[in-house]
Amino acid sequence: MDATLTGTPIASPAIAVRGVTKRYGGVTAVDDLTFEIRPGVVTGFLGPNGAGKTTTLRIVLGLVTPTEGSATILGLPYGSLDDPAGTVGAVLETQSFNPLRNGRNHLRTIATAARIPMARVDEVLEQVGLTAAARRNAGTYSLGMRQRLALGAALLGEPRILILDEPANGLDPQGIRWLRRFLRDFAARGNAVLVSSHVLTEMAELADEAIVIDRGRLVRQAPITELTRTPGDIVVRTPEPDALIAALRTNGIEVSANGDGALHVSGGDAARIGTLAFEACVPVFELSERHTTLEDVFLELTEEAPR
Amino acid sequence: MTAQFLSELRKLTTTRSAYALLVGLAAIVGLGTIAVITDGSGVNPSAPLEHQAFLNVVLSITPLFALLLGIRSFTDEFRFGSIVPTLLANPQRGRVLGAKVGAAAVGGIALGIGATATATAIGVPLLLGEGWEATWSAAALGEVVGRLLAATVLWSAIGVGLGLAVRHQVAAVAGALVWMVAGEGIVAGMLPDVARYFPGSAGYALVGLSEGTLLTAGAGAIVLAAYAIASVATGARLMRRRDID
Repeated sequence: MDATLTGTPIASPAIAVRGVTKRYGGVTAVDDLTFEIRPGVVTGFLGPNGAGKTTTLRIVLGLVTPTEGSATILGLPYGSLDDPAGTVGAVLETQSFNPLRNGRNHLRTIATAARIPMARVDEVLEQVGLTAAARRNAGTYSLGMRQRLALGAALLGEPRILILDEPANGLDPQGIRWLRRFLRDFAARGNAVLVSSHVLTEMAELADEAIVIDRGRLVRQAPITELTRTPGDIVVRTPEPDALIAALRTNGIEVSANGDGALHVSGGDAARIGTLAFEACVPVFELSERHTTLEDVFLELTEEAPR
Repeated sequence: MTAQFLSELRKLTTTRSAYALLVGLAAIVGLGTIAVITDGSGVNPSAPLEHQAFLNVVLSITPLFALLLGIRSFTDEFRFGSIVPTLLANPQRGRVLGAKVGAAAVGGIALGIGATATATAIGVPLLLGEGWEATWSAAALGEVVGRLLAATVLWSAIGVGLGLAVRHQVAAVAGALVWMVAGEGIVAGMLPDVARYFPGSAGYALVGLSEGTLLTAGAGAIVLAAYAIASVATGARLMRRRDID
């Protein structure tokens, strides 16, 4: 276990983005974006490709200068951190190494610059499962190995904040499972995690909080569970809709007919609806809970305005 | 700064690229030495070692390799994306630049020593075979090597700044080669008075490849140093707020 990864939470907010706008020529990549990342949870940073996720992360990491606004880590801009590698670890893209340098030497160049002991390099290689490939040129690595090398680089300084841009790209199912468990444990020790993705199914199981952006703007920041809780959860089909509507409304249950022949019921559970229908002598052909996926919510949130 | 300098040195020594430059330079210098001496015209049996013509091969070729080594310092990082972990580990961009200038200087000196050693190791036995009287002055030899090493340090710094400004490896290397090999000579033909102050001519003056039209060695050193400072300063200015994406 990493010595510095104690259970003491770091200060909150771990990351603060305030009024950040980034324009490239006439194109606005990020538009007056404001959000905060707390320690102790995994925050998913969601949006379609081109929504401005990567640009935002690069602004947070001091690689890109915002046109307006500011981004801080534990209250400081990235460039003012005393020990950047010991504060934040970031995985931004798969290819971030010289292909003619071996994996171990890649990590050693970073460790040297960040004043991290060389012994830590071998520890990290072990942790990300690259010990056997450590002395091979990184150009020969598979996509998954490249991701793990990048993650290794991020972990070198034993940071308390992790920023990962689409980390699941190229990882096999075991790798994704490993990463999910790793990030959950990491966050549970009072650390902060910001993970971007356009693949939402993996986020539903990984993240606690979600920040959804589209065309550079914040669309929603909420707990993942809250995002999936939407009205119209139960679908009922009956040949006598009026009788059922009356029975449900008498019992204070919201119901609407959407014109597709089915009733959409919110605020009740399937068992209660079935029981009420039985007591009102209304036949029921279908009684199903519609499981709202994160994809549905996401599409709903990001496709409201025409592009 | 020290940590970053050591990191940059580690980068230089952990890929084949720098060694390939050294081997390539040694091969060219070695072949050039053989060609100059076996041709006969380049041998003066009574001249001391420091005045033998084969050394001119070292003095004219080595600075070009130091320039290439300097250029690659940043262009490799932009090309492979490793600039991102570099700047995440050390967001002080000015310090990264300074460390790269320092590491490239060390690399340039290594190239200078390697080229001189190769040429001497091949040239001396060949000269002896041609009836050379085997005289030399340690002080004069030291001055020749010292000027060469000063030139490689300045050329490598010019390269670092140039690579940072251009970023694109092929463009930077091709541009530098075209200017050094052909461009400067063509412009010099048209503007002979100004051409003495061009970097290639100033560099030749510094290493003592003097023709009548060149500056003195001291003036060459000052002019070449001015180019190095301008190149690094331009790179620094561009780097300060440039977006890395």
